Amino acid sequence: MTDSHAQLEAWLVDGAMSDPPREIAVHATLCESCTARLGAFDALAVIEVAAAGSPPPLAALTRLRVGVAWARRGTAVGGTVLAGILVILGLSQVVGSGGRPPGEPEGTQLAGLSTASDHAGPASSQPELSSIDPGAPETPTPSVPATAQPGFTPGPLPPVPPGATPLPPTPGPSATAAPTSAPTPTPTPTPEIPDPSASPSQMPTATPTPTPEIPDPSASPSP
Amino acid sequence: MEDRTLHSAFVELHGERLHGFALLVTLGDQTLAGILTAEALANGAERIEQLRHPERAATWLRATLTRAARQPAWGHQRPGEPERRDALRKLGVDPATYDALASLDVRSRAVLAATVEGFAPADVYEVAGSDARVRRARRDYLTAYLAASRTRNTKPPAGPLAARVHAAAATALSGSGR
Repeated sequence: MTDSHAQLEAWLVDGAMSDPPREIAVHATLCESCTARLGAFDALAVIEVAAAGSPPPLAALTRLRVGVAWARRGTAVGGTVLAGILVILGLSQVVGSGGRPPGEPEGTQLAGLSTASDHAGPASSQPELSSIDPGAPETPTPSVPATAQPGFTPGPLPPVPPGATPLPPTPGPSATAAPTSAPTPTPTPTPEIPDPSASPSQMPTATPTPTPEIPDPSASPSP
Repeated sequence: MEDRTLHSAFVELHGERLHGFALLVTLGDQTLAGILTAEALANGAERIEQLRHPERAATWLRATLTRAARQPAWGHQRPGEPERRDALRKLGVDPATYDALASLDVRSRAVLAATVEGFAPADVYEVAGSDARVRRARRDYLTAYLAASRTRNTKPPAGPLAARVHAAAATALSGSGR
């Protein structure tokens, strides 16, 4: 009996292409559960697929689909760009802070960076220095080290090796050529004020700027 | 000009039935069914030279549509169940059949839709991807339908299949009586 159920089911699952075996057919006509099995596929037979009618206009639907597809692509591209920006920003942060040894004062590091930035080109360094340094006096005192602001961490700059952190390391004429002229646009005569902060920055401004005229020995590093 | 005529004839020949197939596959999601039908017809029209044989084209269209229906339709708001039932009721899908179809995945529904359309076994296999999937889809449907029918306390209809079995039984009984 159970075998007959299974055989009828197998016949149905196989697609019921040919006629069922005779004994199965006889069994199915008398068995209520097998009649129900037949009814399950007969319920499909009454479905009229063509009753769905014509599909909606192609253009509108395709446009909708294309819109969804473009939105999908736009999301992907936007995400990639955003991720790229974040990675670049992260890298610049790492590079910007990575060159400073742990115990070293920030000011010296930044002073070193400022000299390094000189290599980057004058166009980029000048406006940043003037804008970032709110405490920098308007006076043209050669206070280039005023760049010792925490915000000034130009990432892509080459990190200064720890050994080169002292200020004097940039006495080389090549290191100071371009930028020093920017913060000291007017080599005005303010030597009367022995600006203590000026001393460390005198080095970077080794250009033919006013430094030689301030021979005040008392202006030496006196923080 | 000839291309446009050919294209129109292609859409006219396959559009309605493919739309019904799509409604079954998407379980009554009329918007998605319309989109999938339009896409499949557009893709088929591009290959119209390879799909000149109508049966070959019909199978190809259904296989293409089934593949597309299995992709996630992001941004598409799916209709509620009453709306789906209503859409399929118009095709003659009874409540127990709807319940059974709802328990199946897209590919299994495609197998049953192709069966409904009377496709040859080889074509149904092509739509589904394999023989085993076709069998599994039919078995799953049968199990789900019987459960739904019991739950709803409805009696399955007697249709052409039952008639064939009765005829075979009658032949067997008359033959054994001789």
